[in-house]
Amino acid sequence: MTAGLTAALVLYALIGVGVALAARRGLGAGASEYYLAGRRAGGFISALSYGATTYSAFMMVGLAGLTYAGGVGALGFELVYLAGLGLVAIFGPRFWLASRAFGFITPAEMLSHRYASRWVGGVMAVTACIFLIPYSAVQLMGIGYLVSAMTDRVIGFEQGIFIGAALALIWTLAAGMRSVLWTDALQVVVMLVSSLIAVGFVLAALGGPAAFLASTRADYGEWLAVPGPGLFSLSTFIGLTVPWFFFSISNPQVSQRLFTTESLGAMRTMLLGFLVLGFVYTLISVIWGFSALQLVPGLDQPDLATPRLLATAAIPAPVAVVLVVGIIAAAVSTVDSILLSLSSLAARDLYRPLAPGGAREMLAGQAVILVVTTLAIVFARLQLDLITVLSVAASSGLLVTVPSIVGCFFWRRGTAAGAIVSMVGAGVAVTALQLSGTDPLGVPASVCGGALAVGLFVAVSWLTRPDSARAEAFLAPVEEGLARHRIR
Amino acid sequence: MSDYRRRANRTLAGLAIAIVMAYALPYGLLRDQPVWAAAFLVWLLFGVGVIALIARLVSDWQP
Repeated sequence: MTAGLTAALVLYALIGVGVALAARRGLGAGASEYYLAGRRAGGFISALSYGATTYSAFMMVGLAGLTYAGGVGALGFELVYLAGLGLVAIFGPRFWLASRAFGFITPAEMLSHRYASRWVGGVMAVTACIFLIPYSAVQLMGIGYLVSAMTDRVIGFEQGIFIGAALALIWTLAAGMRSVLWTDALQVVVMLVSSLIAVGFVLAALGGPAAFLASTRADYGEWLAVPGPGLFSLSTFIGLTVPWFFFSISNPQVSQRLFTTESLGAMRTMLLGFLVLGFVYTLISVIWGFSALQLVPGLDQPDLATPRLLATAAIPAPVAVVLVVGIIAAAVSTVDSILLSLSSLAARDLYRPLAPGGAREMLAGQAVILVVTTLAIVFARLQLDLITVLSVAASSGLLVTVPSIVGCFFWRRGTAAGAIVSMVGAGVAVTALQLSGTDPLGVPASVCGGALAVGLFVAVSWLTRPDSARAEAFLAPVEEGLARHRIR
Repeated sequence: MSDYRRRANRTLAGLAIAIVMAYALPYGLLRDQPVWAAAFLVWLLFGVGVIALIARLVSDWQP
């Protein structure tokens, strides 16, 4: 296994580096070229990259583990996320039209302009860094654990972290969004094909699909029920799904993709392509988790379901090797997109307002990529519980940016003070609730944070004076474009 | 109101109903049913349904 996995990782890295370097050809100068691939991304490659960025190692490890522990609720949880892509149908064209009209590179820059305050974008950029750096660290930790477990520690935990970080760093620095798009497309194919083959083998080991359905029903019927073995109570389900539903507009590494497509037609292809890809990958991950219940029953730690399943005779060693590479690809493709997005946020929304004329902005952005990678490595090596908590809290933490994003397009009365107070106040509150494990009056912390963000945004906006002229100037080209393209 | 806006409103309403049903059916009518043809089937149909509704929502776009 060790020799095979090492060879597969070397091959994967070499092909990826080749693809990333090839993406450098045709790379122009400037922030738009580097961070948004010159706003010329095609629909098909954008769909593949959106899938690779969204789906991390969580799917075949975490979601499979959730299925193992909690049953069918895991399917509902992930499909509610997919329904949240309806928000892309509403906000996608608005983001795209605004970015074409005003030249925005980051979603935070868009908020700064709309609310006529650079503080708004700055707060959003800081919020993203606080939650997404730990999230990246956990992805690297996942690679470390997986590689060390599969090679009997011949490749150690720390070496695994460095391998993942190095690949993400090279693929981001090579050509920015262009190399991320190209390597993501390669990686999502590895993720999907490897998981499809692997799930085929486990179903075969269980006697085929019909026998799998029958034995699950007979021996693990409780896992098919809701709330099931206990993990997915209605309260937990709501707490998990609400921030997940808004993921497509709250997480900058995916919402920034709404600026990159060459046309609204390409955005439509991206959206529909991703929906099909996401549906298939979700089903694969859930079936994988149900299969683990039968092939490796009785595990105390559900997150070990995938590594243990890979060690059984049900999966031939070459298939296990390919699947491990697929899971690593899922993690690396998420980390590199986050690196690029945080780099653009730091350069455009934190550095540029402080540096007159935005001198050396690109250099600052690339320095940020190095700093963020170093922080992610340090956090991953420390293996602090706090990092894991912040990572889990990432989707709830970023949910607090949603009212300001919605208000950007749908509430002219929204103000900069309202946006800042809602992001800071609700961000601090939801982090404190998550760290202390408190659900006030039984209401999940994520829902409390989201409700508080809405309340603060509305209340403070009413108490402060809106910049109506800026709101009108911002919305005019967006509304004209929506009518021209026949978009609701 | 123009045709495409009316159609989009209807589709958005359908999407909202589907999302409410994705919570209400498994945790209400089909609670504690240990069979594939309960929560699993509902969520599977929900997934297919939302893809169809979102596809309908963007089909009127004129890029």
